[in-house]
Amino acid sequence: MLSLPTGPSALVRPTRPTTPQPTTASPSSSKIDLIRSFSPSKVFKNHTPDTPITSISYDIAGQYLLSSGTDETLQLYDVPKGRHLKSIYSKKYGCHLAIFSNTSHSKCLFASTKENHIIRFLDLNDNSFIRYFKGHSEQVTSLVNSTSGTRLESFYSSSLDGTVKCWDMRTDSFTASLGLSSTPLIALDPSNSVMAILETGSKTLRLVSMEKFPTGLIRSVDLTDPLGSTTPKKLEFTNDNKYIVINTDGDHLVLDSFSLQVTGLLTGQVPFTPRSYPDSGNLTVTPNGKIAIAGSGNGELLIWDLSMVSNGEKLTPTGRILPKMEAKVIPRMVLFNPQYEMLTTADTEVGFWVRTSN
Amino acid sequence: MPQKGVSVAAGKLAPSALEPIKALSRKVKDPRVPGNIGYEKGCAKTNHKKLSALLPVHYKYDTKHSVGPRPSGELIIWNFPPTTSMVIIKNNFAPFGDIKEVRGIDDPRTAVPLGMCTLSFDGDAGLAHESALKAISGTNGTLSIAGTVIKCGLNVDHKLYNEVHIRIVEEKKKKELLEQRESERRHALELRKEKEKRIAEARAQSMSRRKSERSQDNLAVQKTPNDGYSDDASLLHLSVHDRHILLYSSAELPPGYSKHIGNRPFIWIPDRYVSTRSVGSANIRRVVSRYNCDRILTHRNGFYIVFDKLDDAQTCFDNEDGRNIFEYKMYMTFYVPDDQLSKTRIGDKISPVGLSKTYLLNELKEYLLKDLREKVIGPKMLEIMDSEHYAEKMDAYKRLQEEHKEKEIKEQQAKLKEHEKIEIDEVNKLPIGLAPLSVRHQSADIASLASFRRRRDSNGKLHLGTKRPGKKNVLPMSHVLNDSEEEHDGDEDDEDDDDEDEPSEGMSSATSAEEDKKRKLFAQEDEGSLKKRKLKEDVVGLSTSSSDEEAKTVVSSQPTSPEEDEKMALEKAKSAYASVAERYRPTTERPNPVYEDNLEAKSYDLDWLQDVIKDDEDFQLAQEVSKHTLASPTIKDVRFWTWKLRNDQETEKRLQEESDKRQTEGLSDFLEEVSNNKELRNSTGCFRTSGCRKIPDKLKVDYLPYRRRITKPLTTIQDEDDNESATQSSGVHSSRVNRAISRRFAADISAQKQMLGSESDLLELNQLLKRQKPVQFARSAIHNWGLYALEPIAAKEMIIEYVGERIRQKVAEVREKRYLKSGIGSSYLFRVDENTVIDASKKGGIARFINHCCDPSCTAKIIKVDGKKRIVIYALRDVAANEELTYDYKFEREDNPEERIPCLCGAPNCKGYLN
Repeated sequence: MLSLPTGPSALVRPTRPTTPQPTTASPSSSKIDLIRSFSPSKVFKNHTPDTPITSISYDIAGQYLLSSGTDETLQLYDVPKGRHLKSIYSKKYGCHLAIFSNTSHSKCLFASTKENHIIRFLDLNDNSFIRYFKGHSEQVTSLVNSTSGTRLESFYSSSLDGTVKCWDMRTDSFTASLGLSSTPLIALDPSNSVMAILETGSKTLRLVSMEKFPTGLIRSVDLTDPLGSTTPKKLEFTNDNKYIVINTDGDHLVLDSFSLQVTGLLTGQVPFTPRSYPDSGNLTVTPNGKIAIAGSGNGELLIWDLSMVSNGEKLTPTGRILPKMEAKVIPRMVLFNPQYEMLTTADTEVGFWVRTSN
Repeated sequence: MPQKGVSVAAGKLAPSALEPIKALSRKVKDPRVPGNIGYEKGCAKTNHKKLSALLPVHYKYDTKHSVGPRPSGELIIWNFPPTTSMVIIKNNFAPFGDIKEVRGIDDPRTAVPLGMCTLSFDGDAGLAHESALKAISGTNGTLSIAGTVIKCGLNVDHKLYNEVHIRIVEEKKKKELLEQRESERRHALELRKEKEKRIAEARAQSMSRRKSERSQDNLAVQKTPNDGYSDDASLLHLSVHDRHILLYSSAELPPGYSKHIGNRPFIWIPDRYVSTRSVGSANIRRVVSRYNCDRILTHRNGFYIVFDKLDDAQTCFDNEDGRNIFEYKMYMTFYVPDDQLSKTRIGDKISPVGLSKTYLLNELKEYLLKDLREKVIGPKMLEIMDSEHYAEKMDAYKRLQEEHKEKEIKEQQAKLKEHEKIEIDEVNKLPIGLAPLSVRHQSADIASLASFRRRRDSNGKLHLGTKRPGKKNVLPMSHVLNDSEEEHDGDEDDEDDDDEDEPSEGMSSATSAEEDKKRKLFAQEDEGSLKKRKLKEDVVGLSTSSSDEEAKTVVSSQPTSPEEDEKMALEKAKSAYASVAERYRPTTERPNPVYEDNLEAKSYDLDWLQDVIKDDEDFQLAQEVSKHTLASPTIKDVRFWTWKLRNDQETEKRLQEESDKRQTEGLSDFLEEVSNNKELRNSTGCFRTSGCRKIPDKLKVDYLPYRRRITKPLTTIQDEDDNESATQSSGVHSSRVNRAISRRFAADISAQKQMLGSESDLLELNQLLKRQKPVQFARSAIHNWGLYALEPIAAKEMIIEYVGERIRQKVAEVREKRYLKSGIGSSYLFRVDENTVIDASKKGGIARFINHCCDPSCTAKIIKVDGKKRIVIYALRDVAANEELTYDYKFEREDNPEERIPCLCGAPNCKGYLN
């Protein structure tokens, strides 16, 4: 692809290796190649064997990974060192959607699955609860941190009880709540000014201004057609604030984050063997917001170049990572690290994928 | 656009309490600007990252979590000379990591090294892989071994190995093929050349033979000095003991020790022989104290015994080196100050001057011998062996021999005549029948017996003599006197000769003499080779059997008639000698062998051979036996060869003896003790086979070091500095002085008290505590623990108070039962009087560790202090430092034998039981 000057002139004038210029044919093929060179390097079986893992999440610096499972434990991993650090038991309340607190990587939030549906604020160091956030009457479906540097303590949750709630880590009670007719999924845009709320029942996607949270509606769109019979699992803004990606169990939807127009359908996913537990989504977008990666039921990782979507057409995967014989990990959940060149997959065991040079 | 069922709730307040606000009721403008992400400050901004800005992650391989192929920690190294040792390669790669294995690869067909090896790093897979990568980057194409730049690469899945291996083998094959062709061509050429050469050689051979002999001789001589210099120690002839005398400057002293030692002689006992942890310096001091050692320094390297005088140090070293101390052996190394070296026993040998002297002397000796051999002996021998002069010499020799013989015969005749006269005179003087019968059997005076033989020679009548005839023309007595045929051992050969010679004795004397001469010459020529042959045969064990066979054949060929004749002659002789004193009569019994034949030996070496061959006769026999064996071509110079052989043997023997001496001393002590003890002995002979069993304490006393009862007190307490404690030893105050001091102190205190006038407990004085002597408990030979004096204690001095809970009699009884029940075997209850008992079991002082002894060093007294009865231990006699303190328990006599407690005090007057 890259033609280096040949002949005597090359010897006389050594050329500095330049970054490959994107050609018209494949704008970010080198990036796709980079992702394609990923392969599982470590597999952690710290959760009780064959119990499903329900969520994975990184801390803000991408240094730690927290996974929660139906064995009612939280597992803490060190990402750059590739080590399992700690098991935290939450036998009494269960756990789901464990996320690190924005303020400290040694504190985490997770939603209980048993007894009640309180969101718990846990200190990972001494395994003690700092605060309980009471409010939801049903299972929490999404838990997101504020993306704003000035509102680090804020976080938002949605629940099966049809509410979206705003919280502050410093107080027990929610600061605002929005009741909806069916189960919502929420996502925050990178500028922390807009929240996207997808009602899974009515399949309506709304953009709400964060400044005027419960009342300020910006735009809403009905997604009954594009979604079809698929059920959405996760909603995500790309980091460049261009797209909203809706992770479903069929074709993934890509919408323009402003107009909410469907710009593309990411196809190619083979459905996973169904299980009765929720998960935190098998679609992830790289930190630059250009490439979407999703796990597939056959063990492949599908890679789409988001710059190639247009006019709501279907987009076949630009690349695939075929499952490795010697390291079989099921990518039921896929999450790209915000800071490191690695991604994590999880099903019943957590797999760390890194770039491998041949 | 309001939605159905959409409501807003805020805070803790119930939704109903607030006025409902219509959720999502207001239409607002999108705050974002398309194209401008509009990040707020903080975390979100960092989230948008280019892929190239992401931090790379590389995981180390760990066996537990890592997946995928195991990274290889194995290198293939090639392109080095096949002769290179694997150790060299290992050393070159050692800096990159711990090496598990270096394996040279050999040619599968010829097992010749291929100049290729595999090197695997140690550690877990990740670590090994890393060090392998490091090694490759560090060495590939840069490191040179034995002049060639080696190549190396990572061996993944054996791929590289196969690749390199095949390449090298093929290269080698090609090379071999080429070489083979070349050598064939060369061989053909050589064959042609050789033919030509052989013809030329055949001509030159006869000419050069003599020369080559000489040069061979030289070669042998030149070889000798090298052997002599091979080992310094053997040259110096130092014993193992003496080899441990070293120079002060060669000692590796711990830092700071040279200051203490100064330029003085010292002995070092390395820690590996005597553990400094288990043996205190006091023990060493005890051993070496009689040699006036100045001080003993302890270091973890070992003990350093410093002496003021060299003589003391040397005697100490000579006497105590290798001596047993507890379970250890004190092997010493003696360091002598450099300037005093000449005064030591080995000073001359070890000093540079002495060393060079010995070297020079040895060299001179060698050269002298060489010169002698070459310039004196060599030519002479050659001259003798020159066949041209042979006839002349033989004639001369014959003439000489004859003259000699005649002279001898004349002399003998003259002598005998005189002798006879004297004998007859003497016999006449003796009373008849008084001559002692036993004299004959003692055969002490061989010379006198020989005289009979001579007489027979002169008379030609009698055949009498000793077993060993000196000359050929003399018949052995055995031949004449034997009644049975099997009695000859070594004489058959001679008999054989004699049988033939006998009839023509008179006339053929000249010819036989000639033959003798020839033989002798032959013997001279072959002296060396003969010895070798003999040795060879003996080693095989042929000599005895062959000689036996000979004996049989000879015996069978013997005529019977001469024997009868001889008997008759014997009878005659007896009657003829009736007048002669019994002592001087010829023996009628079979001859006793002069020497015991020692044919079976431990080793058939030169010494044995020389021992067996006692005289010329044996020598001739040996010659005969070894006639057909050939001299070994490897032995150039026989004399040198024999000398060397013997020298080697001697040194070997000496070393053996020394090592034996060192070894035997160690175990013997312990073994003796065990074997002396019946109960320790085992029926099967092996303790392991008899299973576990308890060895009673009584027996343990016999062999456990801390239970070993020795006259001197055992130092169970280790002093930090023995030098200091030794100086303190003189400071024993008498009890009276001590008491006076303490009384004065008490008076002072009470005065202070009065002055203060308060009731404070601060100045409450335990008088007994003040007077307490420094004691400490340690393991005891008598029972588990014992109390030991830390410094010398004078007689009648208070030592320690028996402290404990003061309880009533009733309580004591209950407690005793409880203690027994709970498994506290030892009783620490001390009765003060009828109602009071002091219990030191749970709350008590160390006085409770004092053991019982039938010959006690202390006694327990009950004294009243401030109206309270207290138990105090006093010294009965002077107690030395580190001596165990004992007192008589004075238990009541127990009648029930099962309840009696055996006493293990080991005192001479021990009663055997405590109660």
